[in-house]
Amino acid sequence: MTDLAQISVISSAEPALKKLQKSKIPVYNCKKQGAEFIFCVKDKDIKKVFAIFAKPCYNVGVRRKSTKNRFLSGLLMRIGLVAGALVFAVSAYLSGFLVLKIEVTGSGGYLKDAVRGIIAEEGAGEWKPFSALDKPVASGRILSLPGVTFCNIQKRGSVLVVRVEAEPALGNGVVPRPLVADVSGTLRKITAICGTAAAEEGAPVKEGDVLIYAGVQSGEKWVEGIAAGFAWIECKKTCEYFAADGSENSIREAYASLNLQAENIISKTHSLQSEEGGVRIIMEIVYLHKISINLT
Amino acid sequence: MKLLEQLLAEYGADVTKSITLVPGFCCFICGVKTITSFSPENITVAAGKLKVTVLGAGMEVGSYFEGDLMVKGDVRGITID
Repeated sequence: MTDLAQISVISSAEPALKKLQKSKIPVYNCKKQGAEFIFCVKDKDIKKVFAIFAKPCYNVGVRRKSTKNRFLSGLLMRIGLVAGALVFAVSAYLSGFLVLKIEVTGSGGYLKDAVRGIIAEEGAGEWKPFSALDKPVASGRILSLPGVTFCNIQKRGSVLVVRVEAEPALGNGVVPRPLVADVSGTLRKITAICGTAAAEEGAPVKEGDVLIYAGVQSGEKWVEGIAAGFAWIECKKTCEYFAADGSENSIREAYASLNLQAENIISKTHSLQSEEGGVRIIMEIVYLHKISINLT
Repeated sequence: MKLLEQLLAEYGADVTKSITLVPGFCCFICGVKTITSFSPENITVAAGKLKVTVLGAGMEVGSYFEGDLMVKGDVRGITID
């Protein structure tokens, strides 16, 4: 794109060139066309040329603006069109750059709330750039959801498509509610694979308390999902058993009647109380009770 | 071009007052004081004490600035007086 404007002046070539050289103006493509002397000068020199040939007898004029000026004035004349094209280009660029919609497809579609929560936590979301998503971490977290066997995160245009495949049987078996304590005691261990842990280890819990919420906090927004995980609650139990005598066999039978897993028992003590026709065995047991939700 | 300038300088020539002619295409003249005559067939310039005339057809001034003149067109020859 040149910045040479074509000027015409009614003058003979020789004095015109002399005047231009005197004013140190470079001239290009000079030719004679009848009475006109036609030459080109750079845009910055046009004012000087008009000043040199200011007398009306010269009849100086710009025959053709420089390509650069023609381009700029063309743009100015079509400012609406240019603005529209720019808006279109920016929208097209942004729509390819931003995520406008998140879709969860595949047999694991029932996990879409949990998947959306993970995607949001890992940096992506509607009207956010796709590049902000930590894809490997998000994929890993989605794969750790109960029953998920395959996960693929792809961007198709402005849509973020998360394909999640899960074991078919689990789809119907998922319980869409939080993990709630079914006994009172002390929380010894809690693992929330999906969802949000509601209590800390070592804290006392009562029957009916929520241990894992079915959802996650994403910034200021609460995203509903599923709860998956397990918890160990330390419980105390006092039981009585009536036996004919206080022999070891009777005591063993008494403990067996409690139907507790041996490895879950932390401590056990018993005392004997004589009764009419036999012995009352009073047992105090401390044991771990495990509850879980949405785990295979 | 550099080699030519180097050789000319070695022989003591003043390259600021040189004429380069490419027949049928252009002629480049250094040290032009003024253009005394201008037509498509004949362009005469004053270069120092010399009068240089470029002869040809359909000629025009390609560029002219600070004593450097390039004549474009079907250049056939020059005369120096």
